[in-house]
Amino acid sequence: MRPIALTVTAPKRALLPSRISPLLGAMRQFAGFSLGSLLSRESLRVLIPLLLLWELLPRLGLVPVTLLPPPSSLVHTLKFLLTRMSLVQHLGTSLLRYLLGSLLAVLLAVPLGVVLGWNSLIGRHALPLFQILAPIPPPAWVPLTMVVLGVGLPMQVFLIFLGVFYPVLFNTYQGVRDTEPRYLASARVFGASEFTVMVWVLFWSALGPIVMGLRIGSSIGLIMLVVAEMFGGQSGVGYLLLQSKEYFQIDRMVVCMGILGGFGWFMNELLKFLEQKYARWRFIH
Amino acid sequence: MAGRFNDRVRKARAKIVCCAVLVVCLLQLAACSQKIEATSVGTGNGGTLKIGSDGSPLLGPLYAAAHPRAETGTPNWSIIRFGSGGDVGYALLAGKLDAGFVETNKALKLLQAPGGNSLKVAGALQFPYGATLVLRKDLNLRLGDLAGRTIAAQEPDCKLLHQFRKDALRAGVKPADVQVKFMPFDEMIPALEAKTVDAVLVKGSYALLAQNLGHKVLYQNWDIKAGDDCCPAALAQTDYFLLVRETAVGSLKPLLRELVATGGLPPAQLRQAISRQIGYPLAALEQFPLPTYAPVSGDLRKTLGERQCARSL
Repeated sequence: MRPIALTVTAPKRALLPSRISPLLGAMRQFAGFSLGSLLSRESLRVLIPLLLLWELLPRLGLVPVTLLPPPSSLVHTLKFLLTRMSLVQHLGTSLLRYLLGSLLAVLLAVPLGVVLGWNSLIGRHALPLFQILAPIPPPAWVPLTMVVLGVGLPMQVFLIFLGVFYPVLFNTYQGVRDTEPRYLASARVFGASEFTVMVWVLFWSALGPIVMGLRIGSSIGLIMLVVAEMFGGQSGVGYLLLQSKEYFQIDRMVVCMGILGGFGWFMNELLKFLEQKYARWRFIH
Repeated sequence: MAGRFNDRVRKARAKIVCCAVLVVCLLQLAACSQKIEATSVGTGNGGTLKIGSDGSPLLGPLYAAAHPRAETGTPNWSIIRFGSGGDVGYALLAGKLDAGFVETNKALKLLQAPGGNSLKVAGALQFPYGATLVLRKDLNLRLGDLAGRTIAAQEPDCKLLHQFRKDALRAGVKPADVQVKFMPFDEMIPALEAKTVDAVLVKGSYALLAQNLGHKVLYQNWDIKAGDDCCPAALAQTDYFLLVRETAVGSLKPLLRELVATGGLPPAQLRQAISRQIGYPLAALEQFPLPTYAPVSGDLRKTLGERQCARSL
């Protein structure tokens, strides 16, 4: 039987373009990696009793059903949100805002962090400014941002940017500062330019802390997404959450919270996976 | 020399740390004393009643009633301000308030929510209905320039829209030339702020809120009566419901009497009360009619159902 099975699967693989095949492989690897941590015996020992409690408490009348809707009833709410409230569109809008803000933050924070860590003179001059600005809670920027950028996409993207920027910047900076001096010495002995040192030594050496910063930043970015969508947006999961809260639709609110939690978990797992894949040396140690 | 310098630096650092600790302690003390004062306002005098509000300029009668007058003395209730009507609702459900003003749509949902059956409608705040077209603050247009622009309206069969189309036609604007987006009243001002529409067609009360944000009134017609096939007049005319906890109905009678009495106040006094309470510019208020408080009418009782309303007070 085995040779027949092989002849069936081989042509299917051959149909895939050579670029897609590794991508599918990586996706399969990621699914195994992320679901592996979620469905591990340890996490299931905590999750299953919690879910059971959540289902049973309202059903037994110990907690009002409408204040804490059981998970089984939320399936209907999710269906309603998908069919009647254009949930997919709201998700798409939120995702666009989130990715734009995060991408902008990463594109600015990583090179800046590398430069600040590479040159201590620049670091000493610029770092105090960021250290003063960073502790300001991102939601405190909302009024000023509204005045400067108005209400709309730029404001929302900027608020998400603020949430992601500082953790990535400081982690990159610290990662670069912690680079083994012998790596730098080796690169310079072989005649590497300072730009090469920054791109090929400092950045890769700091990749672990950068990903750690991204993981922290992605969570803060998600908080800021909800804050941003509370102001002036008429779309997005944060907006749906706020509307549900204002109109006492607790089941819809719980579904939105679940979606945000699920997305946060997904981002965290994705970044963990990327860290394991591209910053392998951290795990070898 | 270096040793002496280091000693000085160490002493200076110790002083700075001591000063910082002292400042933190003083701030804590100040915060604690403020908290004690705030608590005594809420629970002192053997039970001061707590009335929730979201700080809207439409709650004029409440602000006027809160102001101590010679004939009534100091009220035995205090206004607790929240960020939104939804928050007032949750505080009512949690039993932290005795009564609260909640926007009509939210109040209707709240009465159906868990624990909502312990709340009763004791009265309504009404504002003249009217059709108002509010233009975005960054635009400078006349009614005749609306062709090609996008306005927001509540529903295709909305009374306001029909009236506006008639009036706009008189000003030379073909209804087909104006694009219309449909959305609830609550979403119109945020849409205006987000620049997704150029103007919004709202009932009178929303125009007051929009003008506070700097938007401009382009057209007004106060001759429209509330109520159509979609929304009964008793609800369309109402902007806020006064919701009371069933157990507090009796003790709220003086407040309700005060609220009714505000109907006899001169308009200037009511406007001053709003301005004083929430810092709303007096000049802006003068361009609008005033909100009035009304006890639950027969129509409202019929629309909401007897169970949702407080017994006749």
